[in-house]
Amino acid sequence: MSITPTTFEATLHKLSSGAGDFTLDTLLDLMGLAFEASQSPVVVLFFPQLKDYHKHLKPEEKEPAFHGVYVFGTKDGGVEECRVFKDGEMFEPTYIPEKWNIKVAFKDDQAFWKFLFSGGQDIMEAVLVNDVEVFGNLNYLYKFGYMAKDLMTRLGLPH
Amino acid sequence: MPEILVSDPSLKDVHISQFGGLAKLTDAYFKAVPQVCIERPLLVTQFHRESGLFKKNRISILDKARAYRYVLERRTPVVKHRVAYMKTGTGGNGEEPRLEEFKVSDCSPFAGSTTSKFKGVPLHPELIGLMLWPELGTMRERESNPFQISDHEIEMLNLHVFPHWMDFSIMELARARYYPGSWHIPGLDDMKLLQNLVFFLTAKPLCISHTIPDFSGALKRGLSGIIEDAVDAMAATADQSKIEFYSAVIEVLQGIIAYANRLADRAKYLAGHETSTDEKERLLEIARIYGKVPAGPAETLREGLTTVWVCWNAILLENPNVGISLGRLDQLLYPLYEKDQDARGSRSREDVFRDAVELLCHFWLKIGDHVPIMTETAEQLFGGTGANQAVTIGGVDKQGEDAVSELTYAMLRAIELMQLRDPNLNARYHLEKNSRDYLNRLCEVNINTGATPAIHNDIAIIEALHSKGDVPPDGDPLEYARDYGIVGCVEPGSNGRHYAHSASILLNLSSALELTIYNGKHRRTGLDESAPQIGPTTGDPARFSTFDEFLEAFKKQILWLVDRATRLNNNFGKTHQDFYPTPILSSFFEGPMEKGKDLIQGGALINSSGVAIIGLADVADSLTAIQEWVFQKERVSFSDLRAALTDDFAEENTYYDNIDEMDKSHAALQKLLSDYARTPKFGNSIEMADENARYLVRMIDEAFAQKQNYRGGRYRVGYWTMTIHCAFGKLTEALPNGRKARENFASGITPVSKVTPELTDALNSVGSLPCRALSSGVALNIKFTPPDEKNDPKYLNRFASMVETYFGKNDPSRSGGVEIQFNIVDHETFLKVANEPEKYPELAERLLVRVSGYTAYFKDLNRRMQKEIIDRTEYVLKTDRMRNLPPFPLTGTATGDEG
Repeated sequence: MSITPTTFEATLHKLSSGAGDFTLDTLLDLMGLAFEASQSPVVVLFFPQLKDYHKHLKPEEKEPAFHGVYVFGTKDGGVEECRVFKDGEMFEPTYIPEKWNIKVAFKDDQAFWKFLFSGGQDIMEAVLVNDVEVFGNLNYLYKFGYMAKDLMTRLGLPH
Repeated sequence: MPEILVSDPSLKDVHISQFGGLAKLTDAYFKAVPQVCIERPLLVTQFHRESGLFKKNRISILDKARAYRYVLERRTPVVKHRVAYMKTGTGGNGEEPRLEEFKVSDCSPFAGSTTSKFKGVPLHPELIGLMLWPELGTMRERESNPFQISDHEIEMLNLHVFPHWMDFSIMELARARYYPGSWHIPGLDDMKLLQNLVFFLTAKPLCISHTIPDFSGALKRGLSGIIEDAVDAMAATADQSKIEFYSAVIEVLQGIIAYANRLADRAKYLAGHETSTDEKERLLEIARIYGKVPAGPAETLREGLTTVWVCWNAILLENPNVGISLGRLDQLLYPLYEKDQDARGSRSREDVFRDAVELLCHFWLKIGDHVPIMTETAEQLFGGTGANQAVTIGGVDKQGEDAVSELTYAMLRAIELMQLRDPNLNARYHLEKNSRDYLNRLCEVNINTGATPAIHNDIAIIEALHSKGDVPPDGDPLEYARDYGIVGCVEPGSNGRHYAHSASILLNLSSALELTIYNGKHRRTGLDESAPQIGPTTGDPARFSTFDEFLEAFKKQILWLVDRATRLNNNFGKTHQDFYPTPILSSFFEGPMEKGKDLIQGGALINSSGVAIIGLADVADSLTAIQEWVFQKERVSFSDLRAALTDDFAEENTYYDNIDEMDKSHAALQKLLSDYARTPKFGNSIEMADENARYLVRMIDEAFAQKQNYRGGRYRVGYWTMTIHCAFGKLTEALPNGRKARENFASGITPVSKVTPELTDALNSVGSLPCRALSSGVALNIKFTPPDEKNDPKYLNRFASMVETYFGKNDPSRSGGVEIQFNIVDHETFLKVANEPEKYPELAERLLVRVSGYTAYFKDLNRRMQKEIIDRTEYVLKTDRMRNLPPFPLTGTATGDEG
């Protein structure tokens, strides 16, 4: 089913209704939704702030599409989430590939949220309390951080 | 010895308001917020894409040279800046950006700029440029040190620059090559140790930079002369790697000449559209000079400064603006100044001297036309830093004779008038060769600026450099040592021939102590059984029966850290060799042209790497506290001490005291350990405490000297800390010297604050450290209450005598202090600016301070660093005693201790 302004609004409302209680899942779902919605001229007509959001994944014809495999998990090795960015799309793979570009392990959603959205002081703090660990290529984290912040700003959501 | 013939070398009656539009331009400079410049990253990325460099497994020096020539031939030739941005609100917390454009009236005699902006932030995506990515949308609004960037520029970086470098930055290239899959390795590998921040930092993912180029060839023969040399050398060799090297030199030098010519053309064009006769003349003079130099030899001081400036623009295109330094400009440019004097005709010597000061004021302002990239994390580590472009003046020449000239005094007056953080002015002083008048002037400028210049002891430093002896067989080690300049903060390196990377490794010394206390584990990474074993197991100190056993274990931990840090640094170095050759810097250096070899491959005459040790005084005092109370007096068991450290000297827990302390709480133990009257401290001329500091510097120097770097040189050690003693302090738990968790460490080589009541004792203790083990420089930070009246001759005399005493070697056991730097601002003034900056706007905007190496504006420092400076021991020069002042409080916030 293709996305429409109504389905986008409903999903956005559903995902963002627990503002302040955002989880990694919510963020990833929201991001996926936004990438899809921003490619629909009708949705963008109603939600102009989404215009060109998909350019994060495929800027223009001459530029290569972004490829990256992200794994997010809890520090105890429990729940793991994976997202793949490929050929201008973002999707959740059926299994976690062996090769990935970056893996972020965190104590809980709050720790991840703080790590992603706050400034250097809290990155120092994360080191201090040892509640976030990053493996792999840090540049992928920087890109993800910008895509996430950009999305929250566009949608006027707290971060 | 150059004679000082002008009647008043301090030029007291001259002010910048008399220098045309300079005062206005300086005001604009202070108001201007740095702007991120995307020109370089965009052009470099374009070239890499067009040339297929992103697909290569190695970038040759010729590839790189062509990339730089491509940029030099296309970058904006800025002759006059017209706009800048200023901060009009506090910003932060989702407020709209409060940066507003304002007009700049640019009257500089120097065209060209480091970036396309009036005050720019250069970006190197090859290095750590991508760290700015998550902050692109918020950096305009950040409360501390915001950067201006337009939405269009954000889009260009986000979509067209950064994505290409994701797998191609030095950090990630090194990780992929040397540490693939490192997370599967038990414990922490070198890269993870780095990411933990608390053990050591290595600078190579950010830059190498820290060195001094040699401008003498460019000044005497022009770049065309160097090109001729390269052509000749190429014709004389069949070695393909040398041919490639010389071709690369020719490429970049032709690129620099093209850039200068474009500036000349632009100036001519602007002159053609100018209605004001004066301005037209000014622009035509720029056009004339840029058409002549740097392609040809310089014949006047202005032409010489122009040559240095244009070459500097190019050097910063290649090398990030972090610690790369200009060297002994007074020595280099003095012949041109004398030529100006010879050609002065009917004008007086004083007139020419005054012109030199005016030119230098403009030059200093140009030098500061850029600031280093600073992310929010970096703000915590290095907040407030400039580019630390050191300029060195005075001292002796290569033959060991007095080298202080009128140009030295002109440079001092220019810095006194401008009060800029960049350049970082460093003065050399030779007790036997330089005059007392010169020393008095250095002290006077310190009083008038509050913070600059730093003063370096020629005798001690020349001895330290000479003792290293790692120079080529046909070089003269003593001559090289005498011709040292200061790199970055305070690091001495032989001018234009020593590729020092003096900030390769920043090592947190307290980590070695921590690993000793916890038998190879660290509180940051956990102490329980499942926590990773970090360092070697060196035994439980509670079972040691002597202090020597403790020291032996400590040494093993140091050696382990040295091994890890140098290995990682060398792996980063090898990555630079394969992906970041340096054709531009190699063109301005002694060695590469003769060897036909890039600097990064070991082309320089001297090839050391430098290490800065953080936490010396805290660790020395901790060793002394353990020695005194655990092993000698046996009043506190090691287990009790460790328990107190683990709970951060909690009030509610107690220790066993086998003598007579009434209060047995861990809090009382903390008071005992931190009390200088009861526990010996480094800096009070107490043998036991000072000997522990001496032991440390000797042992660390020996440990690093064993290690070879990737260019074939050795490691050298220094004790200067920038602001990192605060950042490492924040990451470090309680220590045996009574320092509580997260408190700042003492800075540089300075004793711990407020435990050294007598100035002379403090200076004697520091002066007793062996200078040969301090060959990568030290920062001794001393704070004085200012004189009641600015021109108090008694105060000045005492000040200069104090420096002489500290540098003196009268006692054979004393090495003589290596360096000293000052803050001559009282506690009350600091409090005004820290607490009510809006009430004292002018003071807040320009209050210059010495951090621990470099100079900074106090307002730009983060709160922890402001506290560290406020809490430093403040001495009253008249009495030689410290003032008793309360500690500056850090007000509470979400993160617990930051204001």
